[in-house]
Amino acid sequence: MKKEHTFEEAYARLEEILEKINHGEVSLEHSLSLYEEADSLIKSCNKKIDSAEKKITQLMKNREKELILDENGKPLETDFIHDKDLPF
Amino acid sequence: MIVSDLYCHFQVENLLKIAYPFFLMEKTVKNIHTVSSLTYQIKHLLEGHFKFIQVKGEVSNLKKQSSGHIYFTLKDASSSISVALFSGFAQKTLLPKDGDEIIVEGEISLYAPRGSYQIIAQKISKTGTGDLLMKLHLLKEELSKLGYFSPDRKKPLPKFPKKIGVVTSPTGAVIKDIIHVLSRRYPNFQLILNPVAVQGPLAEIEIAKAIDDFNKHNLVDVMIVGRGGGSLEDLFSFNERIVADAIFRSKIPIISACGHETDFTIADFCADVRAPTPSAAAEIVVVDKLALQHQLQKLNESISKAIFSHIKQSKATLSKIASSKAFLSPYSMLSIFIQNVDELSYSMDKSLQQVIQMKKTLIKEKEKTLALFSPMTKIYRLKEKIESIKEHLFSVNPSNILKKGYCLVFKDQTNELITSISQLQKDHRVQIKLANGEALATIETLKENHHEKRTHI
Repeated sequence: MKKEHTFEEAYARLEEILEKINHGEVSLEHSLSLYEEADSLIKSCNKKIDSAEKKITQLMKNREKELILDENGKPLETDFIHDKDLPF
Repeated sequence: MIVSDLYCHFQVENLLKIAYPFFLMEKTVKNIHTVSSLTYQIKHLLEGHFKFIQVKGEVSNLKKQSSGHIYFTLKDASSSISVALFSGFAQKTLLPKDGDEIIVEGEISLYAPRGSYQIIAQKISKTGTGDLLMKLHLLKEELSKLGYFSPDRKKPLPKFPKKIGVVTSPTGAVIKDIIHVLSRRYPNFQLILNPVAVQGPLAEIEIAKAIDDFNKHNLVDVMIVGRGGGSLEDLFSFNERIVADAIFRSKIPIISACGHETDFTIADFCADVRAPTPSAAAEIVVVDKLALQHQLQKLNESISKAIFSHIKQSKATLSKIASSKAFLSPYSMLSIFIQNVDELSYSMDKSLQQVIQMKKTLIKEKEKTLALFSPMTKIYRLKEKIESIKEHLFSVNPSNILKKGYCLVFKDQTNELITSISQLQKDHRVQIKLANGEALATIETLKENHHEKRTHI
């Protein structure tokens, strides 16, 4: 694989490969190389699914309910911890 | 449409006025009732008559049981009536507090053990709802005309969003539900909460700003905007124009998740996708991990299958070619050509021979012709000719004739051969030539024959 695909790109590429092979518009040799590509795409997709990088944050706000920004003008985030005890 | 207009409104007072005569009526009957039979008769009459009612009043003495059932008294200036809101309905409707002016929808039920009647509430709404509904209706019409709800401006949701923004209260059940569902479905996600107030004054301003901020800083791939269900008033921030505008101008796709399945807000109409509940929104926003793995597995299988069928097909084509007649027995395919060649060469031979024969005949003819023109033949023929001429000559040789007794007569002086008597006159001297000599003579007489001229000497 030439570059690291995003999950979405990889998935779209997989669908494209399937379409190509199914419509028999590729030579046998090419389809075998497509198969190899599909195989590595599926592996990388599965890896992405399994890597549980859960991150939950909330944007920080001041008293005036304005976002607090860092020096680059990017909103600051803080880990979000849900208050389980609050009834609603 | 305002629902309450469809049904008559009852005051608690009116209800009593209608119910009371039934009690009086029973007293006049001679038969002696048991308490139960009387109670059941009353129950039957009462419940049959008030199957669906809407009653307006103030809430007081509200008690919430651990079972989830809620009991309170509905009253106005001069009357009061008990209301039971069972947990099944309590989950689906506005929860009243003491002092609230509300409209209760439900039916009259008589509770036999205590001989008391009450309203079994099914839905509770606040009074003044009609005005809010009217306002909502007008706004909806206006936004619809402006194309806010148009299906062709709905943005597609990203299939695999990396970052999910949520605009809701940091303390409500909504964010909890969303995180719970997301964690269950797809543990690999990033969520950014923009905490806002979802009801009360200025809530709509906060909500709209949060949507704008997510866009301004381009923080997320998709947004869930919502709150838990509630009364029309509770949901009203999501019915405000300012929120509708923010959703409408958002570049980031928005899933709305306000309340329950039956409550539609303006935000719901504006959003790219409307989820009936926050949990449903979370389910919409990410695919289920297991389903995704299953999908990948299926894709893998499909590709493998397609490849193998491709290979199989290629193999089949190859073996078909290899086992074709041409390859198995070249003669069968070539026989027709071989035969053709044979036939052609045969007829070519034949015609060649014919040609040769013809040429040979021609040559023979030519030879014959040529032979005719050969000098030997010529000579031979000339010889023959000479011979015949010779013979002829011999036959006409005058001397030979002379030998036979003929003679030639010439004029003596002129040597003119006399062939006619007219050439001669008396005393002409003539020379007579015989075969073996000549004689000189003089003409004595002339006698001309009439038939033929003949000279007699």
